[in-house]
Amino acid sequence: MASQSLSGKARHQHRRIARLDPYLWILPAVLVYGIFKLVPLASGLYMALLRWDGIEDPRFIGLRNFQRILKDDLTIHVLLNNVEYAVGTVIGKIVLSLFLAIMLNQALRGRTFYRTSLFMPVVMSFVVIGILWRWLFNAEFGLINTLLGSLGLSVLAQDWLGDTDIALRSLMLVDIWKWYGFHMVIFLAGLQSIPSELYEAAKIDGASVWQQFLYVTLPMLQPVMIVNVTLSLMGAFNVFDIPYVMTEGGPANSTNVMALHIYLRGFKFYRFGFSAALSYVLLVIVTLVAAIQLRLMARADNIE
Amino acid sequence: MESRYKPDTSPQPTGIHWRPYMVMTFNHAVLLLFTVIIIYPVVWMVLASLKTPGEFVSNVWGLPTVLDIDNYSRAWELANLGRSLLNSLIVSLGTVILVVALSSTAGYAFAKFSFRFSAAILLVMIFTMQAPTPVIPFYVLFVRLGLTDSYAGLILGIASGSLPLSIFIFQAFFRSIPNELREAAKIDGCSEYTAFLRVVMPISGPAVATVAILTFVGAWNEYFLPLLLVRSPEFRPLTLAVQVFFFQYGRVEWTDVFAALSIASVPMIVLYVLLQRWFIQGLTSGSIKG
Amino acid sequence: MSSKLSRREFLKATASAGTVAFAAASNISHLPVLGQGDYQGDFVILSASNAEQHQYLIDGIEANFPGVKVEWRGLTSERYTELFAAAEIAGDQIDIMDLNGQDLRRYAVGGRLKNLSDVDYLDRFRPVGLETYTIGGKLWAIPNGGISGFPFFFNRKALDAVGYEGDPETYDEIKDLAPELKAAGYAPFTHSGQNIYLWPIWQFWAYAQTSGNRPLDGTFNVLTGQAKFTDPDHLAGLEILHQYTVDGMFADAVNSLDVAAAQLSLTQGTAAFWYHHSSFVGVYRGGEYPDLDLSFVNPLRSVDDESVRRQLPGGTGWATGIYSRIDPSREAIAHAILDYMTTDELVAERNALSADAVSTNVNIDPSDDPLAIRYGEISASEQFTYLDWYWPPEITRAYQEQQQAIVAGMASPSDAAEAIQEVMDELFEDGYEFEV
Repeated sequence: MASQSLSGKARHQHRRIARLDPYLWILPAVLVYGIFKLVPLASGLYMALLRWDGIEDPRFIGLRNFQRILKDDLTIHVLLNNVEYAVGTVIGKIVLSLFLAIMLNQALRGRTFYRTSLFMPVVMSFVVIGILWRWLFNAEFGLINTLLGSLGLSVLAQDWLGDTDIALRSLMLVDIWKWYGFHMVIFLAGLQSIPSELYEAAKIDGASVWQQFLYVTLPMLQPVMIVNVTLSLMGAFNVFDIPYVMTEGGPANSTNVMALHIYLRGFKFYRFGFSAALSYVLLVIVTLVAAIQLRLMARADNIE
Repeated sequence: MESRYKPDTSPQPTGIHWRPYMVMTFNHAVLLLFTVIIIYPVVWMVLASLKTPGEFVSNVWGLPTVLDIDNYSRAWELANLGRSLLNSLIVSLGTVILVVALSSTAGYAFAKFSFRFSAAILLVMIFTMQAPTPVIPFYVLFVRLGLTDSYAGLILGIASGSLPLSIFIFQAFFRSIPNELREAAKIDGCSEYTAFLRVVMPISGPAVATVAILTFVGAWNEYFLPLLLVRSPEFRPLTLAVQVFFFQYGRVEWTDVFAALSIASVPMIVLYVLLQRWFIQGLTSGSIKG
Repeated sequence: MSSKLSRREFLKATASAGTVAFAAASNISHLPVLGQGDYQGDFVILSASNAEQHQYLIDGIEANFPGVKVEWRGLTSERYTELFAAAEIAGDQIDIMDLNGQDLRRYAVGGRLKNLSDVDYLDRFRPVGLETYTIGGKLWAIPNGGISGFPFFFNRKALDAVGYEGDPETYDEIKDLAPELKAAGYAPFTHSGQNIYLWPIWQFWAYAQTSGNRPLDGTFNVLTGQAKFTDPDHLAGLEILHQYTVDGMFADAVNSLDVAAAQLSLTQGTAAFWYHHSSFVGVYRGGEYPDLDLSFVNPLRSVDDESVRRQLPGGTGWATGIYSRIDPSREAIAHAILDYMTTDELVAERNALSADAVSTNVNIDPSDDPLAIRYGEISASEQFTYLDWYWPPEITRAYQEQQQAIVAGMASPSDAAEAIQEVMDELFEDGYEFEV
């Protein structure tokens, strides 16, 4: 420590400054974050205890909003949609991105080209993507059904956004399309950090390619796997833009998810208190996911 | 960087020559297929923006037979995209500057100083950064501070969202810088702050680039905050302008909408292609180190 | 660049039905000069429509009331309440509220609007508009804009293709034509089934018929708890939708069509009928649609009783009123500006913007477009107010969801009616009260 070279008095003074100093360094960031993120987050909690439609005077009703959430069929339906969305997108993103990362992790001409192209949707905005895919999915004039028709596969043509059995999956597809490139690059970084000796050793032991994947690649990828799964899981529970721009939750609530449900309860039906309460339910879910991630990461670190 | 994992080169006892070529061809075919699936919608968007309204529906997936460049001038004019492009640039660059300044200093403190509550502060950030912000208190705050319809409001709003991750990125990076550097600077008579500015920051290019790109892409694509905080058309960023234009439903031609979509996304795509290495690293490394 | 349009011209072009407008917009100096208050400073109009379209109005106000600076906050209808509430809490200035008709009731009942029953220029407006904005015997807003609604648009070329002449009147006629229409490449009906408001609006015309042309009374009875959405008259409305569905009347994917997509089906000649708002006339005149020869009729009679009138739902323009908690120093100027905003000249401009066929103001004939004139002749008199201007938004959403389910074959009309009534019952449990 630099302070070792200082005289006693100066050292004392230095320590006092040093005690304050770090806070000055973090102050601007903490102020901005505190004012614009934490203050609304905390004051929203009070709103969750109100019955308020934005016009009549708010009434304090304690935990009634939370009690109603537990009994609300629609909220449960929406939560289940969201779970399906989460499971589907996480599996889709992980499988696809891992597969492509492995394909890319080879001495291959045009690797950069592939990587650049496959990553591209990540930099596009959801507004653009939502409007674009709405048209790709259009049942009559859309690209997908038209292409299927030209390939003689019109039997596969669907009412992608209008069929209650399919609409949610169509949205999941768009989400996967936008984000898998992101996860792919993370996997790629993980793959490149696996020492080649491990594979050589496995080969000497006579392991097949599949066995190498199971017993070398997958275990070594555990840390990045945790990152990828949690990121896509949190993304799935916070998803708003895609259903908002593409379906507004329809048809018949088949694509309604938590963030959209919160928005609609609040701003279409003027249940501001109920909506705020719902957002804390979502907060709990997201926090749980984050906590589990931290636990898993800590454990993975310990193992190493 | 060379690949170490080569599942296709396992020993082939048969010694047949063409086998590797077949595998290679197969690999290229698979990758090419996915590339086409991923890129085609984007290409389609640009193609649609160059078609006449008639061709938009009659020739859905092919190349336009006549280039209708007027779509662009109309979209540009009708949706006032010039102004919005400028707004997006100002807001995105402003956010980048603010976030880099605030998160580098904070990240440095978390990495190099030990002080009470530092772990607690970080933990609060981790647990709240993904939390959905209740909209009404958020909005009221901005009204009270006079920050609606202003660049400052948008910048502060977006920055507050991207600060935690940026701090983590800087913190991780600064941890990897040996302490001797800053000690040496201080022995040379630098204060902690000048040491940070003159010695540490100049070698922190990778972290700055990571945070800057992450923030820039996020700010450029931000939609919800402008939706909330911008009332006057003169402050609309591209995302909002495109959305408003789109919702003129039936009053504008679809080809014009796709021209607007292209204008909104092509600059970012071009920037991305030019700086792709930085982009990919910037957008993903935060989550690995963080 | 030949086709480079300015935004103003663009708005003009889309509103080609307007004739008066251009003069009003390009030269504001001839506009009437009204009683000028002595207020100087900001004046806030919280509107459900956006500022760009109303620059003429902003300019006009500022020219006529020197020293007044207009801040026009355009909020979309769905965000109006949210931002209104936040503005109120934050202590933001609010002077005039320019509402979507469907939101008026909430603000009037909630005490946010001044009683305007005593203003002295009410003879300027058609009575139907004033009636619509009167709740509990008091007038809460001035009808401002156009009287417009939802007729059955159709493509004359489609009917020509199957050799049908004249204007269809009953559902049975179209049902008989359906196989030939399909053979000729036309779905009988397209509809913007994705849009949250548009299946419910379909129910409005159907219910007007099944209620024996008493759609408002029948709805009020449910809202006051004297009847239920499961009663035979309401249920019969849903059964009409079910009938259209099982008879294969709708285009494939009708539940996923938004307004733009449904419009494309009509303009591209792949659907014969489209149930949509009368402002489409203006869009039609402003574009080039070689495959479309547009016409419309009032909703087809879909019940057996021939004495039933074919009514259509509609509205009476924007609802412009004064915020009840306005600062007293601005109250006089707010009245003067409201008066000015609803003068014939300015309403004519607003009519032009939205291609209205009939104006809220008695003395304006907004259009010489044959289709607009036709709307004034055959439709305006058959118009009744959109039912969702009376009921809470939860019911609109419930109808939308349940009607989608009927069309998707997932729910029977009676299941659907029960689900809708359930939402209503929950609202009653929450203390919902309706005031006529």
